[in-house]
This record gives sequence, structure tokens and C-alpha cells, in this order.
Amino acid sequence: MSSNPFEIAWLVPLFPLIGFLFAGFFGSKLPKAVVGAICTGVVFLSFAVAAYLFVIIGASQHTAFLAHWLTVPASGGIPALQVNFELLVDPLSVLMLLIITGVGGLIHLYSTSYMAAESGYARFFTYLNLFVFFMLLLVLANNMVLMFVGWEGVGLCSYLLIGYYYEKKSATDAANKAFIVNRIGDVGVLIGMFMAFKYFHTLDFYNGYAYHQTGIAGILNRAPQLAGLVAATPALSVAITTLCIMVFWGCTGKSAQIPLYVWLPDAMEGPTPVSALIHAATMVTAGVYLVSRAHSLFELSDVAMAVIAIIGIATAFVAATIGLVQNDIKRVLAYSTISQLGYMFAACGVGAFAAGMFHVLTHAFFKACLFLGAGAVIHAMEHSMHERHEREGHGHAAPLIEDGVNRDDPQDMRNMGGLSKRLKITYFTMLASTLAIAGIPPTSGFFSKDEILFQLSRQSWLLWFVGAVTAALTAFYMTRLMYKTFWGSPKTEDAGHTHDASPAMTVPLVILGTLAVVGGFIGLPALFGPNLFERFLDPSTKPAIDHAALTNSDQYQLGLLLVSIAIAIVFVVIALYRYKSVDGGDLLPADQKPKNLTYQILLNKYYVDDFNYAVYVHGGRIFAINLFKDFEELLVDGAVNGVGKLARAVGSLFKSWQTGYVRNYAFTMLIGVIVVLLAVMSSFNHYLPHH
Amino acid sequence: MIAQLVLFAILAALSVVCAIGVVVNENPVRSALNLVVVLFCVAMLFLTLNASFVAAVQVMVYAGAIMVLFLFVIMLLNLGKPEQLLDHLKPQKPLSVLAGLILVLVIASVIVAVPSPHSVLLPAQMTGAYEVGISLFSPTWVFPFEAVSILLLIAVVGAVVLAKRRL
Amino acid sequence: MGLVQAIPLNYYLVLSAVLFTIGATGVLVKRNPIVMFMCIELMLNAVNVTFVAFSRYQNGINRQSMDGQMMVIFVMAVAAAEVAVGLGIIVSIFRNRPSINIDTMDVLQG
Repeated sequence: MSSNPFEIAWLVPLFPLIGFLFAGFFGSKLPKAVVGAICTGVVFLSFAVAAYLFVIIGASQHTAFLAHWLTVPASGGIPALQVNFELLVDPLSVLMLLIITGVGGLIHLYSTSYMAAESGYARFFTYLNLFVFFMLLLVLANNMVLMFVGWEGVGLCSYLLIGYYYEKKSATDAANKAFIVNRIGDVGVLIGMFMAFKYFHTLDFYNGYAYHQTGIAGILNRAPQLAGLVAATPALSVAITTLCIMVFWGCTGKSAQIPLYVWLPDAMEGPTPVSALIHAATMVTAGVYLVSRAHSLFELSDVAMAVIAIIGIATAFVAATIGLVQNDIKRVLAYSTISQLGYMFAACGVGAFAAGMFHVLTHAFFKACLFLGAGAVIHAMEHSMHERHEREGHGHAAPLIEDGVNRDDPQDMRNMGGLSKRLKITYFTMLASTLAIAGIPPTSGFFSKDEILFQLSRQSWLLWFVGAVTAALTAFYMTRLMYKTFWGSPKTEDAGHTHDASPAMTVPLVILGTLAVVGGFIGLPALFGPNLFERFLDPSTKPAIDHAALTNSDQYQLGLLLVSIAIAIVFVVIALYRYKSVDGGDLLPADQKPKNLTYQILLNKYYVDDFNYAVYVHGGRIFAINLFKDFEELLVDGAVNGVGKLARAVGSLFKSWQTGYVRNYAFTMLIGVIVVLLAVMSSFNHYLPHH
Repeated sequence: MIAQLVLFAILAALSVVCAIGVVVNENPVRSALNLVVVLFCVAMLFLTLNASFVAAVQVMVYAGAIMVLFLFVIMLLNLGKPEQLLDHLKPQKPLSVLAGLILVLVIASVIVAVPSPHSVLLPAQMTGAYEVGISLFSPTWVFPFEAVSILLLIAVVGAVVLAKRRL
Repeated sequence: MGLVQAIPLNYYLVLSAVLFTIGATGVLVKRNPIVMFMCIELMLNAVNVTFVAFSRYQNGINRQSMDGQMMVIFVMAVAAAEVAVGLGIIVSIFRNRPSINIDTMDVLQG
């Protein structure tokens, strides 16, 4: 090993890259078991290296340089730029590495069984490994450019995996939507990069190889010292605020906040492991990671922090309200993800970056567990429906619709019920994760959510109130999900014939479920003892204004804690009671549904998708058609045809000279002779007559 | 000197008048006859320039053979009478007269600009067939002489082929 | 070997220029191809006059140069050949046409 022991960090993204290349070139020719084993194995290898890094990192920060990439010399007043292939290893990136490779590895293991029946098995693992590679690159990069490579790469893999079932139009539409909306967000990241270069003359996060060569310190090294300068110079303050808001715009795209969240529910078209890994645990947390990473930069602008907090908590609330009435089990979980992401951003917005990252960790545990569990449920329902079709000899007949419900949809909760007795392991793990997300102590989710609510309350009571209401709604709709799926009576005979999943699927479920329950003890609130998690992350995410210095009594914190517990338990109980009275059916009777305005608004997701379609998609189409008619046909085609017409006109002009008459030609010759004579004569002008 | 001037003036005037006659006449036969007069005048001019052989050849070949050929063709194509011919290019006539005037002025201006004495002393001896013969077979002119013989052969063959009704 | 007074050369040259121009104008103005041909012959004759005049005046008091007259011999030979061939062409073109008008030959009109 070289002098820098952290150069081993390059192995972490390297293993999944090898897996990607292997599966991409040879996957289709090898048996599925081999492909699955190798692709899962490389992720666990990366996890091993990440664990080693975790052990040796301590509280330090290191960079690992691999090679030069871009060196642009200074020209015309623009300073030089050096961008290198360089990694940053510090507590924050090691934390993300563990999440990505650990949870990712478990999901790979789960997928070996879940996707076993697919013909595109190798393709799936190719894309999944590529995704892991890009995500690792994103969190390890020491400069904005390399991070952006990872940022774009995970967007690409998200597109590829959402559109995995490419024969379904709904899947390809969803993939397009995800990629396009992401792209709209990426404009913000790019503008942020340009502005960062303008003001800092470098794109490095922390001092690295370029610093030793040029002496220009990294952005995040310099940012904390700029606080006084920014306060004194209004122009600089506006610039920094714009920079931060632009970068946050990119985060709303990647992490599904208002207004760029619309792609995430549609992304459920992809296979469930994809939803678990990309759209719950890792890719969508990239935005939170970026904000935490650049926290010293964001802290320079109070306006930007306020924007982040407000949008975060608003998203949390709105998404929770939509999740209350959805019938597709994966849609409920998707809106739940958007809501929890809102919590993370709200925490970052008030300066509690460690709390936000803690919620990222716990959310990865319980949300991945919930998605994988939902996958097991959907798998079981599918098997059962398939058997029914075989029995009844339907084959590929049209789906059976009863009372407005598609009885052949394995994802619709109205077809489920009473599965707790049949899918025991799935049931228990999902129950554990539901307790976590609802915030029932002593689960991990309780600790992380409570920490966030506590930090929100210190900034503003309004933020805390919205957060508390959202927590209540979360408890309610998750209980609703559990009731409709696992409790009550089976709504269809399919639900009555299901059986539990294979070990490859249940082992990850158990691991994640256990972590969801016990994983929170590393982040105990201050009143119970040292917050190990926060202490670990301090070098990376310690905010400029040390909140610990602000005195808040222990009783205040305890009181808030008890309120959180009360809210969670009360609303879980309310939900249990209400749904028990309708035996897991719908609380609103069927005939009242079309009339109830609130229900319709929530069911149609506040009509946002319809608005987007009418204005952007349809409007864009009309604009393009008119542009074609006016601009393309008139101007462009006119110009091109005009050239042809011009050539023809000039040709006609010359054609008129060819009269065909011999006498004309003779006349022209004579004129030519005269001209030549005059020309020759003019050079002998001293021979002209002078009388 | 005087005699020469008078002779030259008469010949020049006659040839110019008849040349204009060639151009102006509507009847092609009259044009041809005018041209014959011009040719005779030119032959006389050759004589005043001490070129007896060329003068004789001029009369024999040009006036004797070529003009006869012209008259035969006019007769063959039955053009004895003047015809009203349709003019497609009305502006051509005045424009060509104008162009002609310009041309003659241009050339004349060059000629007149070069000073030449009012009288020159020149050898009096008349040149004839002897001198022409010596020159024709001298190294300067023997090759064109042989080439012209081939040219005449080609012309004979060409004329016969071109005018045949059926090849 | 005597010498004699002769009129200036320029007189012959101007006469030749006038005859040449009359011929050129005739070519442009006349529509009858045979008459056009005759005008061309007129032009050739004007040139012949020039040649012979130069032949006489070229060497001054020395022996008269024969070069001009030789050129005239060849010009006459070529003119004869040209007339023969040209008239043959005219005959073959206009044999079967109702009128002789060079303006009817406008096939090359664009």
C-alpha cells in the first residue's frame, strides 16, 4: 500500500464497475446463478472495503488522487482550472458508502430471487451494478465535476431501470419523465458549478492535489471564513444565495421535492428492487448528501437555508396527504419517500445536517425493508393470480374489473388482506419497519424523526407544527397500508392462496427490519447520552453556528419527545380503530367518493400531473407544431428553396442571351473585337492622334 | 505622283461604292455583280502595288471562279427575285451600322496616328511569277504550300460529300 | 533598278479598313446567307490589300519583300476552299426550305 492508506478507497467504486462490465459483456451467455452471484458479490466486496475505511477514518479527512483529468490554462481574464480524478474520504462519505454498499448488497441478494423469472436477468444486474458504481462516485468525489458525473450517471441508470420493462408504454413514459425532470434540475447544478468557479476559482470541495500545485484552496475550506465578507458585501451575498438556490434546484430534481417530485411516483413502474434501492435508499438521498457536503457554503446564505427548510417541510406535508388515499401499495410508499425526504431537507434547512443524515440512514433501513416487503407481497399475489388464471384457463384475457377495482392487479391493496397469517416473515419485518416510520419508540425511525422535530422547533414553531402534523399523517397512512395488506379478511381468493418468499428474499428483509428497529441507538438524543452518530459526522457536517451552545433545558427536549410519542401512538390507534370498523375497506363509502372534493383532490394528486401535461407536454407540442409551420416552413424551407429559385432565375437570365441567331453571335464578336482593339490601343496611347 | 494619286482615288472610290452596293442591294444577283466590280478594282490596286502575279490570280480565282460559283448557287436556290424577308432582329441594323462606324474610326485612328511621309521612294521593278515562284519554294513558304494542296483536296471531297442529296 | 515616287502607305491601309468595315457590317445586316458569304469575301479582299501594300512598302528602297504576296496567295487558296465547302453546306441546308433566311436557323435557342 502506498503512503496514503486511503487510496484503497478507489477499490470501492471499482468492484461494481467490474461487475457491470462482466455482466454487460458475458451476462447473457452465462447461467443466471453465476451472474447474480458475481454482481452481488462485488457489492459486498465494496462493503468490506467501506467497512475497513470506516474503522480507520476516525475523525480525519483524506483525499485520494488517481490521475489528472482537465487542466485548462488561464486565458482572457478567466483563471486556470484544474479538475482531477480525486476522491474525498471523510466521515460523511464513509457513511454514504456503508449505506450504498450495505443496503445495496442486500437488495442485490434479494433481486437474485425476485428477478429469477425474468429473461432480462443479466441486463438488470448490469444496470444495477452500473448504478452502484455511479452512486459511489457521486459520494466519493472531491470536486463538483466528478460528482456531477456520478449525478448524471445515476440519473441515466434510473432511466434504464425504470424502463426495464420496456415493452410497456407506461414504463417507458415513466422513464422519460424521470430523466427529463431530472435534467431540468441538472441545469441548476450546472449553473451552481459555473458560479462556484467564478467566485472560488476552483471546483474542488476540499484541498487536494490541485491545492498543492496551485495554492487555490477548496471551496469548503474557504467558505467558513467568508461569513464576514458575505455579510458586508450585498453583491456577494446575492451571488452566494443564487448559487445555493441553483444547486438546491438540482436537489429538488434528484431528491423529488416540490416542484420536481412528479417523476418519483411514476418511477414505481420499475421492478420493486429498483424502487427500493434507487428511489428509497440511495439516489434520492443524493440531494441531501450534496446539501450536507456543502453545508458551509449553504450556511453563508440565510435565504437559501430558509428556502430549503420551507420547501422541505411543505413537500413532507403535501406528499403525506396524497399518500392517504392511494390504492397501489407502491404508490403509497413512493409518496411516503417524498415525504420523508422533505423531512431530511427541512432538517438541513435549519442547520441540523447531522440530523438530516441520520434520517437518511434510518430511512434507508426501514424504507428499503418496506419496499422489499411490498415486493414479496406483490410476488406472492402474482403467483396466486397466475395459478387462478391457469385453473380457469383464462390465459391472457382482459383484466377482470369489479366495482371499479382491477382484480388482476397484484399491486392494488384492495385485492389484499389477511396476509399476516400467510406471509409471516414478510409481515413481521414490514411491521417493524412501519413502527419505525411511524415513529414509535424505541425504533430507529423514532430517534431520527424526533431529532429532526426537535431541531425544527428550535428554529420556528410553525416548522415544528407542520412536521408534527405530517408525522401524524404518516402514522395514519402507514397503519392504513398495514391494515389493508395484512390484517382484516382477504378481499379476494387470490389473497387467500398466497405463500411466503424464498430465503434469498427473506434474509435481506430480516436484516433490514432488525436494523430498522435497533439501528437508532447510535443517534440518541442529547438528553440520554452522547450522540455517537453526530459525533462521528462532526468533521463533515458540524454547522457554523453551534446549536449545542444554545441553551435548551433537558425538560424542553423531554417534553417534545413525549409529544412526538403521543402523536405517533394516538394516530396509529385511530387508524387501527377506524379501519377495523370497515374491515380494511375504504373509510369513505363508494357512492360518496365522487362527491367528496377533498378525496378527489388528493386522489388526483392535486391535479399537478394534469397541469404539467396540459401546460408543458400539450403546450410544448402545440408550440412545436406552430414553430414548424411558421419558422421551419416559411423561413428555413423558404431560404433553402429560395436558393434553388435564385439559381434558376440566374440561369434563365443567361438563357435569354442564347438567342440562336447567327447574326447575334456575329454582332457580339464584332463588339468583342472593338473592345479588344480599344484595350490594346489604350496601352499605346502615345500613338493616338495629336494634331 | 499626281497620276498615281488620281488612279488610286478612282479605284478607291469605285471599290467603296460597289462594296456599299453589295451590302445595300436586295437582289442577291446585283450584290454578286457589285462584288465582281470590287474584285476587279482590288486587282487594279494590286497592279499599282507592283504585284502582277497576285493581280492575275485575283482575277482568275476570285472573279473568275469564286463569283461564278456564287452565281451558280444563287441560280440553284432560285433566288433571282428580291424577297420580303422577315426580320426577327429589328434593332440589329442600326446597331451594326453604329458598330461598323466605331470599328472604322478605331482602326483609322491607329493608322492615321502613325506618321508616314507624303511621298516615299520605292523600287520601280514589277514583281511577277518569277519572284512568286522563287519565294513559294523557298524554305519559308514550302511547307504551307504543300499543306495548302492537302487543304484543297479536303475541300474538294468535303464539298462533294456535303452537297449530296443522299450519301 | 530605279526608284519611283509612291503614295503614302496609310492611304492603302485606310481604304482596306473601310472595305473591311463595310464587309463586317454587311455580314451583320444581311439575312440572305449567300450575300453574307459574299460580304465575308469582301472582308478577305480588304485584308489582301493590306498584305500586298505592306509587301510593297516593307523594305523601303531595298528589294521588295515578297512575304505579303505569299500570304495573299494562301489566303486566296483558303478562301476558294472555304467558299466551295460553305456553299455546299448552304445548298444542303436550304435545299428543301421554302425561304432563305438565316434567322430560321435558331435551333440553338435556349
